Amino acid sequence: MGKRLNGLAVRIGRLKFINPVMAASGTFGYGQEYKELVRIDGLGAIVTKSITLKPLKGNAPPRIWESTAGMLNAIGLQNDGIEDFLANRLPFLKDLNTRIIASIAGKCRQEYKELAKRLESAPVDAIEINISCPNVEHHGSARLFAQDAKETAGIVRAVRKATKKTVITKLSPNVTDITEIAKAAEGAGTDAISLINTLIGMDVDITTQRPRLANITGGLSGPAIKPVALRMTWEVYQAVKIPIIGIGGIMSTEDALAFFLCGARAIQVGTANFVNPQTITSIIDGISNYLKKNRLKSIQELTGRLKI
Amino acid sequence: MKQVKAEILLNKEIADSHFKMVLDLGKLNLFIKPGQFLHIKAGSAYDPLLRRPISIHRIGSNPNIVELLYKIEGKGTQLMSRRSKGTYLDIIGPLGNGFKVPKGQSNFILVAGGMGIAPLMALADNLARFRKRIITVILGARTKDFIICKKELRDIGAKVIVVTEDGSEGEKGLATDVLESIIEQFDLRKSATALKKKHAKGITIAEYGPEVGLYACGPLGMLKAIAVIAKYYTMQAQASFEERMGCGVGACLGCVIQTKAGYKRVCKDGPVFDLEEIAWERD
Repeated sequence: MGKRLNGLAVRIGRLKFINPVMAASGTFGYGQEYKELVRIDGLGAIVTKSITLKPLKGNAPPRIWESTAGMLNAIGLQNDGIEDFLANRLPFLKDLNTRIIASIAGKCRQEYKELAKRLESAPVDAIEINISCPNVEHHGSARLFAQDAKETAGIVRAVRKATKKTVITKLSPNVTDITEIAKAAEGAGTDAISLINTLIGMDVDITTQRPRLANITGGLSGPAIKPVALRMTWEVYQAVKIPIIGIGGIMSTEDALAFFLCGARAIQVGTANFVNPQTITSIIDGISNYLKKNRLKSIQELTGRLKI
Repeated sequence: MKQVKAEILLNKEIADSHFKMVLDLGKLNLFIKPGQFLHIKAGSAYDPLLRRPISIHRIGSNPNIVELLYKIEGKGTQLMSRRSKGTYLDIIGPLGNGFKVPKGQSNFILVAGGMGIAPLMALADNLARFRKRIITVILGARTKDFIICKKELRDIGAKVIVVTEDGSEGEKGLATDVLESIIEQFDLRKSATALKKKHAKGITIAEYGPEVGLYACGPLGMLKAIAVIAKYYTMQAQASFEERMGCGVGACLGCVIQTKAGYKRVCKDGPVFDLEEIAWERD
């Protein structure tokens, strides 16, 4: 692999990324878990497992169930809280030659704001606001903040006020019109939108007549959801001006390129990390080769180039 | 831990739906501990999508050659069973913590329920490398057709007690039914009495101390029963647990079990846990 991967750099907010391929939140831990398997320095970014103010113990097991070309999960945002993140997880992350995006999750606006404040002086490059985890209960009327345009805007505004860092808002596909939520986030000052989080689903064991997950429902991820993610990327691309980070079932370079064509400026790889930890590095190489083969100067030339 | 393409040297059905697979992990010089597992991608398609965690059954004298014992339970193991000799499997490993053998332990009681012998055989192999160790293995199975490793265990000098649910071989019943009598048979109470005298106070029931250890793998009900026995005799007991896994490396938190210290990851904090750590309330 060449030292300089020409044409792969992208800009999101005020941040430049060496390439547009990131590890999605919840699928790459805090980087350390994969250090023996993956050359982490070459990744575009690592989005951390979502961080909450206080430690969360998460949902009862069983927490995962495999479905056709996908998996359901209901982890319930288990994490040791912001203090632990700053003291024990960040020291490893900060020395990496890759962008660190801290994913934050709160029970209310105030908690998101507090988390952003606490991260302001920390060596993380950006914040991804997770308002779309389907496996935790929230206050307020909507089940997920990302299902309510007003709630979304309120949280984004609160975080925006608390930080100068690049702010990314992660949206849920479990909505009637995702463009409405995307526009609300854009209006409230988010630098970028990442989409999609998991689709709410469930599965049943007909022998015991019980749900497969203790939480009953869980979030569906993996290649099964890619068509939905592509459709939503395309819809949101036409509705907002800010950059979109495409997520949802990306397993290969071909999958990744489809997201760029639908309007993504960058992409995140999630479930594929479990299947093959080399996925991200192979997609980075794959995009590089694609650019050379098609005589494209930059991956950015591909964003939104879908021919209708 | 590494990710490699491992060559299949053997893949053979040894009992109905039970397979033995020998893998060459290549020149990795991996240090593998009994109780660790490999995370295996059974096929390249998206169904099944995830890897399958399979215990390391035996480690060869060349540590790059490992043996797996698995049973067809679903799509993943079905695919594995169809893979032929000379083809390659994508594996990540070795993963997990493995059994820990405390210093000074000389008496080892291994309790295997069905496929539970899979990781315990590697432990027995390892223990047998040192003299003066007494290894007793209780092999519990549904019928005599599913008693695996009886000969291999005897070959390494272990005492084997067979228990079958239908009584087709050995004693009729469950592995745990004979465990207490085995403990007594070792005449450990004598050493317990000695220990009791030594300490003179504070010990109310037989205190076996660190010289005797229980090691188990099998159905949850069996492990729970062993936890009760181990607690009664205040014996050190470890067991290897199973759970559906995502990443296998501690990142996704999908495979947790409830312990007294909160949820712990079977893939990273386990699969071997001290039985006294486990919180059984949920069952």
